[in-house]
Amino acid sequence: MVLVKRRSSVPADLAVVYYRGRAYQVEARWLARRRKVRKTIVYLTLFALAGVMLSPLLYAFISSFRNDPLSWPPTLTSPKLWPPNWVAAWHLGRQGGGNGWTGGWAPGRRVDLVVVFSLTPDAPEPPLPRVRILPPPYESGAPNPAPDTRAEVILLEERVVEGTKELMYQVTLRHQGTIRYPLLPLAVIGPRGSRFVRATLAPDTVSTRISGVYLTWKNIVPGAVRYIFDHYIRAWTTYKGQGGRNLFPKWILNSFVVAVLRVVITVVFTTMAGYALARLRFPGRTLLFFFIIYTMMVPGQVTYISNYLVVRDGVFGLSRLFGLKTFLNTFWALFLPGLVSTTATFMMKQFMESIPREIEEAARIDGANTFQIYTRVILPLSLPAIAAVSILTFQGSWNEFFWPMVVLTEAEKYTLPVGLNFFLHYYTSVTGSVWNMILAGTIISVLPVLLIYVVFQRYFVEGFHLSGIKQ
Amino acid sequence: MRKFLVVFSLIAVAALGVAQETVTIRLAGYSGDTPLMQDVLSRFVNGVIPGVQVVWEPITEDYLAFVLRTLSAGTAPDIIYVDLYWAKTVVETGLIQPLDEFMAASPVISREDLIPVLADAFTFDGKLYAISKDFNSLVIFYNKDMFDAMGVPYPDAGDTWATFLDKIARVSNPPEWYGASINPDAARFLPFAFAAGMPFLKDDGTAPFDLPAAKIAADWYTSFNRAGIAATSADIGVGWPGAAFIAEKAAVCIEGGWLIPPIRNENPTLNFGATFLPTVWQGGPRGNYLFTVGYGMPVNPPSGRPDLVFKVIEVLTSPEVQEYILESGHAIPSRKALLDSPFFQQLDPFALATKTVFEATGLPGTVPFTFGDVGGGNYMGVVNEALTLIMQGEATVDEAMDEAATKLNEKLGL
Repeated sequence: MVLVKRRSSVPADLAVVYYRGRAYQVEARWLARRRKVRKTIVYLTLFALAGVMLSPLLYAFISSFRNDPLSWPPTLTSPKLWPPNWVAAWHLGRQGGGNGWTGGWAPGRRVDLVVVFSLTPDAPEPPLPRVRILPPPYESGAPNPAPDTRAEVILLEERVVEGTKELMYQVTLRHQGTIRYPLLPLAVIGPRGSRFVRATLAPDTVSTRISGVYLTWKNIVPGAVRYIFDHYIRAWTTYKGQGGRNLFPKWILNSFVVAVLRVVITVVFTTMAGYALARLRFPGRTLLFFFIIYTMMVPGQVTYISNYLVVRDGVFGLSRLFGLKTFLNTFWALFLPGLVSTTATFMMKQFMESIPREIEEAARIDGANTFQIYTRVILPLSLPAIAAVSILTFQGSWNEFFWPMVVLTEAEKYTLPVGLNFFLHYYTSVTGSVWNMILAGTIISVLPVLLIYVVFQRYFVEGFHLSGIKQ
Repeated sequence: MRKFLVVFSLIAVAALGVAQETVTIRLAGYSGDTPLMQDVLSRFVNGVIPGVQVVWEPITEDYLAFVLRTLSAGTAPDIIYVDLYWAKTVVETGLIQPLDEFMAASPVISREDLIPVLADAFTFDGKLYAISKDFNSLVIFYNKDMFDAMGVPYPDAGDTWATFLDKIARVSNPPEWYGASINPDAARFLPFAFAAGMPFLKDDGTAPFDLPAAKIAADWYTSFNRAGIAATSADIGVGWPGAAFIAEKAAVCIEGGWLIPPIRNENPTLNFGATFLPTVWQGGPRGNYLFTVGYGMPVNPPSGRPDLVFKVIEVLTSPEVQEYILESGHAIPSRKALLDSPFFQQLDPFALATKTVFEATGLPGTVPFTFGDVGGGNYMGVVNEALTLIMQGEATVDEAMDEAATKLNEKLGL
């Protein structure tokens, strides 16, 4: 860096910078480089910050592919994310079910699997590994393939590598029945005192037990898709409602229907209320507005019990018109309390007040009545506010947990967050915590909102801006 | 507007019509029971009992909180689970009804069909408030491979506290595996204390933990961990002692029938056995806890048809359904007749363990897992604290148990 005293004329390769009220001439190249460095630092910092903010989601995403998401120390790798395993899963799936993507265990098929164990060179000749066909998980409802499956083990090769004896075995499984099975869970128990080296497909669990090295595969004929997305597929299909329908897609649908309906209802009511409060003159207008503001100050928890009782009694018997004794355990219970959002009304009012009165007056001169002004003039002009309110309402409804959990009791009617909570408890009590599946479910539930964020991010910012308006 | 009204009333009429054809009965239970209960409902109830549609509602929150909340709000389901542990609390609200009248009128089920201790457990003031759906008690689960490897005989029904301790000491092989996984858990410790002669409360109503019997039992129960031949589940790095057993990190654990489904799921080739808890001395007393959950009915079931509700309970506790549940290996049913079930004649370790749990319930010394007016939280809380202190070596048995007695007395206001 060269600081040069000011000269009368500045050559092309020099630039002038001002520092503490005095002008200096510096080399233009140096200045440009300094700007670049500064920019880079800023961007790197922003990237790092974004990385920190996103890391829980990213970690959850990676963990949703891991077989043991609670293993300590935590790792960022998983056999399911390792491409050679994808290829192996594809081959095994094709051998077992004739389909490299979804696999299966079809009649007349044969699967070959190579497993390598190591022993100390002076160890005596070990017995052959034992092979067991495991029962599929109870909640999968899949039939047990054990009676139709015959297993055979042969020693392929024995060699000494770096001071240890490596024994390569081939496990051959033959389907001798007539039914096609979706899953073929397998355990191979290596000889006592041996160590597991590698296998055609990385096992899902490897544990050293007293009886030997215990390798298990949840499905030895998975196919590539079933292998990689196993936890996602199970989260999607495992939990069935009455009649055997998958509940997870039902929950997504429920959440979606509820969220969209709430958006529509909110937009209709809040734009009308906002318009009335912003532009119409009627007695008690200020009082009404203060009343609305006042309800915003009552914390939601205070009204839970009274809301619950009102919904229980079907809003003073109104539910009997629909043949329901109570609104509990129906979607009505999700809409009715908070039918009109005060926050959204407030946002709408503030926005509509900013629309120039002259436009409205022009419409009035052209002969429009108040309702026409509302539909033809105010609504189109309020689109940014409507977009913002819609997105915030959608997001709020999608993520709402406590109230739906209290009023919805039947699993078929759950919304996604309540469903995920059910998932957590269901798996904790059935098989111990299956965090990878819970995480898979969580990732699926995040996707729609994430998508909406990406597409409408501009309006989100606007929404926050609007909700921060102060008169 | 008129068109709207017509459509509206049509919908209302249609809804009423559908509602009158079949009675919907709500059954709420633990969410973990979901696959089993859905299976049972679709096999034995829905479409089988005419005019009845039972809807399963899995509860993920604390079940007692759910029951008390919905009972007091009048929104309780038609059939609720009643856990013996808190049955008294719920019965005292007066919001669930006794089932004696229904039972007297029923041709299918009578009090005599139920295992007496289970029927007695749910009887308050001479009235039966719930019909036990299944039950459990504690047994010793042991890993046969580990005992074989160390050349130690398996734990058996003839074990005393001393021989059991000796076997655990000999089978322990850390860091590969511990002799046992034992937690500072009152629900495991108290049966031993009762066997040693500790009463639930002293005659004057004060805490019994400072009695010699309690201290002897606490000394024995904690000696495993203090000697390093047993470890808590946390030390082994798992959530509960059963998980340590399944992962083959502990040769022995003290659990109930609920351990069987996880073994089947997670380590189906585990070579294990089960036997009764050891006696205090040769031929001496043996304690145990009886855990049970029953079906109960609120005073005004929302379906408005208590007769049909009882009919569903009847079917759910019928021999066919109980046999089915037994064979699924998920729970141990409550009918006497099932002890003769062919299921129990099988030799696979799961059936044998189930049979051991079934038999353990009938042994003298088994007491219901319930704490009356004292409150399980109070009673077990102080014991858990004391056991933790002793196991961690922060207090002697005498200090910790005296302290536990003082604390419980304070909580009882004595």
